[in-house]
Amino acid sequence: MPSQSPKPVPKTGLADIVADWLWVKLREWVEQGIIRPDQKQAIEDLYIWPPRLIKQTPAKPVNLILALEIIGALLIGIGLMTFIAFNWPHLPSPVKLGLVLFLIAAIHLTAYGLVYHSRYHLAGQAVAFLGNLTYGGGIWLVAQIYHLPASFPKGMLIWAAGVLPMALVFKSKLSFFLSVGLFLAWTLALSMGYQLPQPVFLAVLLGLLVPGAYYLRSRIGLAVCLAVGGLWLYLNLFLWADLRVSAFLLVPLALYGLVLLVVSNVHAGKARLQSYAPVYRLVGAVILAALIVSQPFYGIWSVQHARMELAALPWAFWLWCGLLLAGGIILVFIPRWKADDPSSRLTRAWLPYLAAASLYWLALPLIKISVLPSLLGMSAAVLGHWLATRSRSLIQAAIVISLAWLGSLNLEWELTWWFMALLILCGAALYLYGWDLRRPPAKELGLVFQLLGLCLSLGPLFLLTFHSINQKILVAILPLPVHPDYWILAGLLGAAWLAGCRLIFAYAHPKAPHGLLAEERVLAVLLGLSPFAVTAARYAGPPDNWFTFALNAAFFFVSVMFLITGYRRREPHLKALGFGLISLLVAFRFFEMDWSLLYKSILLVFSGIIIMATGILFEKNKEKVAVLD
Amino acid sequence: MTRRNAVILSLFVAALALQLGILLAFQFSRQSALDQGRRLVVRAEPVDPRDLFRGDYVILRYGFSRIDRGQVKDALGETDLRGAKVYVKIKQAAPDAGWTAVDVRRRPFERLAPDEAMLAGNITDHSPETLNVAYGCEDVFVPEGQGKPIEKNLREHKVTVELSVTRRGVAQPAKLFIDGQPVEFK
Repeated sequence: MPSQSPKPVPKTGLADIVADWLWVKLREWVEQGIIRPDQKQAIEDLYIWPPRLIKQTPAKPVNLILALEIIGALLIGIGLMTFIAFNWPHLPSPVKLGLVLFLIAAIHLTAYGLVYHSRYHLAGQAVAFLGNLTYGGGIWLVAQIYHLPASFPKGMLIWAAGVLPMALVFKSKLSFFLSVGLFLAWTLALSMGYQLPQPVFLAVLLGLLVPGAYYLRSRIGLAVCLAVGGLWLYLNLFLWADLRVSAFLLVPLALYGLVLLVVSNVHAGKARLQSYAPVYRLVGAVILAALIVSQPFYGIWSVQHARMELAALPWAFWLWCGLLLAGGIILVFIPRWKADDPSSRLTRAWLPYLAAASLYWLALPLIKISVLPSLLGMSAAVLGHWLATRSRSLIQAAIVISLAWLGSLNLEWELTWWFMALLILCGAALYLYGWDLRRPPAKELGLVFQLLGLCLSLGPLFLLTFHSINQKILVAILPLPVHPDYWILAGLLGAAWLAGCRLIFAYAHPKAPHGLLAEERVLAVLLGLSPFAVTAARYAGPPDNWFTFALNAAFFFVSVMFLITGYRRREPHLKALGFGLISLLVAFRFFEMDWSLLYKSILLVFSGIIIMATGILFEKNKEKVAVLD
Repeated sequence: MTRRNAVILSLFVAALALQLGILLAFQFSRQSALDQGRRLVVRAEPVDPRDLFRGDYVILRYGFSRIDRGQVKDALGETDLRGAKVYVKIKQAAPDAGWTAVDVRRRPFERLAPDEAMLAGNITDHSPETLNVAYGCEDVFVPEGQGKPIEKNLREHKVTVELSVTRRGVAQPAKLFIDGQPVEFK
């Protein structure tokens, strides 16, 4: 029975004082997760708002303030742990423990006061996060005093178990992420250490972490949980298969990606769950895209080593295939769970082709004659997309990937740099096509290609920031590749990158949402030019410390650019990428230095205090800082 | 105070009490294991001098870490034993002699002679001939920069560890000795 559309409610006016109050409060409630953005919009649609409010919608500086306070808290927390690791013998162990207990209580009480009894809510969240880091420091202090084994998974478990309730009390998404990471570290340590499957983690994930993400209304938290679920599934299948690598083991993971797409449709059909649908769609699409795109490369390098008879597969493989298939089919065929928005329709039309492409993993290990058929899986996905949308964008992207694949056929592994240069160019082209794909209705798919492109480009560039690695790769005399197909391929990829630049530079942000900001134009040019720049620098002279420094500075510059574009576009994944890259760079450089733990801890704590104090100062003058956000 | 605030406050106090309680219980369990456990002085052996020093802790290996299955009573069978919890009976042949493994079981030993002790551990690796068991007392943490001298001593001197062992077989290092002299960290 078709549902009746609700009658439009006539808008009513509000007294100025009430309008001002409600306008501000609605935004605060969204920030605090009390209401969703669509609920805020529904409430706003009920009233007539004074034009001054609509015109002067201030840019909230919340993200910048929170970012500063989180970085500050993180630095202080790591600094405290580094001090504990310093293991200062002049401070007796009971004093150290008493100090940590006092700090935990004091920090959490301060956080409680800030969150619930002051206007510094954001600082409160960051301080609560610091309290949870300090609690972890306490666990490692006890483990150090009593010489518990260096590999101590139970430490992660009791840390996570203490953090989760505090995250829920403070409604702190950040502490929730910490808890998810710690539970994951616990199960990974057990799986890797003793090579035993950890089914209990599935209960933790489904019983605590996923409901926790819904309770906190954290879409990023849910995305992390879903990604962790995929990781758990693959790792445990690997262990159930007695550590034998097999392409077959990727089949349940592909089915998991398909089920996530189906579940996204279920969410899109329910008004209360609609805002979570893109999360399932994005994670499902990333998993499927990674698997389908990696099929041809897997075909080249791993087929010979990864053959396992179907009969030798563990019972868990068939159980998971059955469960995921049955779940997906049931959800697809229950009519009341079908959503009718454009992206759900696309997903439904595309599902059979994606299923064929991902189940192709079953056929891949059996192909022994040629590597060419390994492209069939990707072709099925591309064909399905074209039939459903009549858009040629995925066909173009598949051509770019196939070019990189063809180039790999004749590649000699001694020529590492030349292979990396190809990857960087291929990534830059994919990144640009991703922008083109971001036009509706396949917005998330464009994002997948952008992330894939960035991984291909930034991965090799990040490796080069290591002094030891760039020395090894670049210090020897660079022989030029002798195969003509390498140069044809490099030329084609360069042309693809230039064509991508031409294609996307026509769109300007914010006129077109998929258009590029000025910084992104610079970034696209930099990514494509970087292989030429590194090669030219190498031929100018052997890589030295300054070469490494310049590469690090360039990588830092690129990371900061992602952060800036994330804020300008208000896109969380770009901010997360920027923060992630900066954190990776700082962490790796920091641990490369031969520094005393004591000096390191002092530097971290003081830097953290300064950054956090800046954040709190900004929070005090929130409106003035808005322009910076 | 409104009812909502009171609920939030009580939940916060419960969460804080949980964190502090976990930490204190953790510390108490380890301290009582140290205080009440039986003290055994065992000989430590360097595994491989090049891999001995990792960061700020020293990895030790004991005479009973690798067990020759032909030399002990072993009722474990040939099934996959990775990660399995086992109880190892160790025996000291003479007052100054080292401790060696004499029996391995999946259940705790009920009776032990005065020259015997029981250790609980997990099998890390095994073959039909040998068992490698981790007892959780292999890593000794040291102040920054003081691991290298110990590493050197492990190669050139007799290094022993005083283990504190509870009735359930949980062992943890209490003191480190080099040629019978306790190591004082500065």
